[in-house]
Amino acid sequence: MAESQRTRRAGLSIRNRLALTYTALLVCTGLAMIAAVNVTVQVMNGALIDLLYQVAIGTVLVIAALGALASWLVAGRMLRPLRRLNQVVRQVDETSLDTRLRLSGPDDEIRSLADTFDMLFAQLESAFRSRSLFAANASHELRTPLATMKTILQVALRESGDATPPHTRETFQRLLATVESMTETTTALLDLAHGGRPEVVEETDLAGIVAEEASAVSDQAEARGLTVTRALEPASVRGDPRLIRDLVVNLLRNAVTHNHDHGVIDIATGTLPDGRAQLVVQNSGDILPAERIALLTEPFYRARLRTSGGHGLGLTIVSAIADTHHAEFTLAARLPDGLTATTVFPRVSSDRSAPGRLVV
Amino acid sequence: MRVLIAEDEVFLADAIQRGLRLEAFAADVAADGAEALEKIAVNDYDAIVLDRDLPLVHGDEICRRLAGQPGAPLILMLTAASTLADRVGGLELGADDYLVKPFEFEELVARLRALHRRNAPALPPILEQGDIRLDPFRREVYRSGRFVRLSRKEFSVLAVLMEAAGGVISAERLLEKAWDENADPFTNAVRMTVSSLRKRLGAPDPIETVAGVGYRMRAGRG
Repeated sequence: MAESQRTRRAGLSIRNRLALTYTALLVCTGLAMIAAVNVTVQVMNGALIDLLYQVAIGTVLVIAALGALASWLVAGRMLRPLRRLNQVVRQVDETSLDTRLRLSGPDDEIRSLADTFDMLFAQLESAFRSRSLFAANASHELRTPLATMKTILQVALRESGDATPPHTRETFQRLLATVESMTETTTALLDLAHGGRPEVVEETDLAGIVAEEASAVSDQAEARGLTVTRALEPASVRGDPRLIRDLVVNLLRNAVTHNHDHGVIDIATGTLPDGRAQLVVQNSGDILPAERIALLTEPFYRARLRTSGGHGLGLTIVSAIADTHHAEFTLAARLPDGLTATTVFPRVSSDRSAPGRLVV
Repeated sequence: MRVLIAEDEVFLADAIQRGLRLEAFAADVAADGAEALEKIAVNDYDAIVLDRDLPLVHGDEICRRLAGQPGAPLILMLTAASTLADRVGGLELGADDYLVKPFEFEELVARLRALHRRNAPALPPILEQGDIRLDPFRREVYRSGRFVRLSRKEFSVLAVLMEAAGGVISAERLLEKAWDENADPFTNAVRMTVSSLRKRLGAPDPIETVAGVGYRMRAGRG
């Protein structure tokens, strides 16, 4: 959207065009009047004619100036609702679809346009709501049978005494592991559906979250012989701390899972000169061409085999959470191999640092 | 400890019931909200494992009705939703604890035991009466430091007696707390179990029969 605005040809605003049109009309009317006077004064003497011309031309100029001013003001007044409409529509996103313009004033074209927008918002709102409701219902419908399977298997393992053949116990344990991985995918899908819905918004330090979560994955990293370096500078962000933690966890897990044995992970947080907070996670791994990197945020896309682990939703969730927080999330090839994931959060403005508010 | 499992998913309810019986709980099942309320009115439960989305009467409604009632069973809510609003919602309605589906069975057991202890604030994690030590979490009993092997029913009966800390427990009360609804109130199951429990615990007999009233643990032994 921003690009099309940049490439658009510069031109006069509707207000200026309207004002110019009215002024031109007034000038034409004045000139026509002068022409009429010209015809009628053919018979009159010189001095009077000159005076008449001067008065006529002066009048035209005054009328033109007054007309220009009046039409500029009137056009501005008439177009004011459009400006408001533009402002409001620009600010609406997934979290504020309950916004309505509710334009007052005469039943004209602009009012009808505003009503159409209100209708559109209402439709979008109900579409998003039913999507979120669908995800919640689907997750509920899946969680209950998953819970049933898990409990049946766990109780069966407890019930099975020494008399149970080892391969039966092993079968139970494998089924249990499969149920675990299905549960993870279901949870990830729900996270994805909720990624667009922050519950609590507050200011947090990215460095603190990253430090905690990096320690949490250090066992896995150690098991694969990975070298993890951290450069954590304070980086203040505003958003739902749970979602931001999910973003960090998914990035770090991705860096561990899609790495070579004895590879490296570099984690850095910090604040850019313009005040925006940045998180960069780099990992060694496969050499990925740009067109495959572009696919990494697609749901269930796996750059490697299924057996490499994960549920195939990690980077999709990261991307969704970044969108919700108006953060820029970019993936790029790292040199000589692997991936660089950069997330840049918007600057935290001091006037909005009110304590956590619920926006559910 | 007697528990009601209010869960409409038949297989899940059955698995929880079997698992809890393994852990020496007396456990009944209600398949919908109306049945749950009925059973709560008739039987004296220590805790309810309550599914939030019950048919007929919703789990929230059951919570609301039980909240604030003296002697009402403690509520452990099972919920399939894991959002903050859902979790807070259940607790606000009067649930004492909650678990998100799918849960670890071990955690369910541990939380039920912790709830039970909360119900009787004086109850220590390990019960001791004279030279008998009863650990509800490990489900182990020791007499003078020696491990005593007990059946589940015997363990439940001993736990109820020891929780009373010397108070007299009637046979009806034992039947209520240590047996589930399948027990026949006219059998002499209680007498049989107490008698086998005495045999396992050995001499001197730590359980005293109070004629016409019930049973109690003998106090003041060392």
